[in-house]
Amino acid sequence: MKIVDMAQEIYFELGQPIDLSIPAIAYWLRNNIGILNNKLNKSIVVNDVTLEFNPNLGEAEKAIYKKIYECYFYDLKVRQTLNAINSDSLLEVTDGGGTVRKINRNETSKIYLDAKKTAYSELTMMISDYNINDVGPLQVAGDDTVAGSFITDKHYSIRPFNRT
Amino acid sequence: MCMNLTGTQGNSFYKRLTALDADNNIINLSGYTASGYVRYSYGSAYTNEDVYVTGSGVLLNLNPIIVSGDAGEAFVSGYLDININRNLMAALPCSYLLYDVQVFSGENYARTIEGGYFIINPEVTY
Repeated sequence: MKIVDMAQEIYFELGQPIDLSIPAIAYWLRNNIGILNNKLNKSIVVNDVTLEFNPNLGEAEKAIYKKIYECYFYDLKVRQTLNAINSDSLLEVTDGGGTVRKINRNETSKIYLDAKKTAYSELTMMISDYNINDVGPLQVAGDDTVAGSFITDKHYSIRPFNRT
Repeated sequence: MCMNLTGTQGNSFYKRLTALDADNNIINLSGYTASGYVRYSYGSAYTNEDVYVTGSGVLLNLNPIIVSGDAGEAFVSGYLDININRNLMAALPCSYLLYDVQVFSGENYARTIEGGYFIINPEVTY
């Protein structure tokens, strides 16, 4: 799957945020493949020429990478909200009998933080599931494929030098 | 000095830039040359051993043209034109790419007149 297609899927699944675009997601995906490699013990790189993943991501890896992006997205929202608190600390204005109440950014950041925690716990479970499903037998390096030799005239004992 | 450009894969792209000096005055580009590239990252011209390779990592040569007019009367405008055809645009990846455009005069003078992200939107119709 091409990176731009994954970016399009993420953009759609996040609800098509107006402050986000497919090129921005594609840019992030290309530059943060190391996170996925660390999580899954993989060695996926971005090809210098095609600027696509090499090797290509499977469906399972793609699902996890999308979840990682979701965590990043909510983390970014939290940071943006915190930055906005610094520049605009006004919560309510009352004048001449009229009141204007603004969005409580502190509460907003808590909502994003909760969403991030939920996404992160889902990510942790997905990684656990991936690792369980991805387990395969390791190569047994030894000489157990070499036929054993036996002393054929001593059928009563397979351990001929055991003198006890 | 910092302006993002936005284009779409497979669409031709045109942008006229104006060269300004440090005091925001238009530069008379008579006798100047211009150059501009699009790269994936600032470090993409370097090898893993941190050796700079000329021309390496260039995704697109913007090839900015200094607008001169019929008799050179347009040099004073400071205009530079970037004109990219659809085939070259189609080859760019959908991403935030980096670009800048510089003007040069003589051996020692160089100035980056514009730079930032070159945002490439994807195309469906090839």
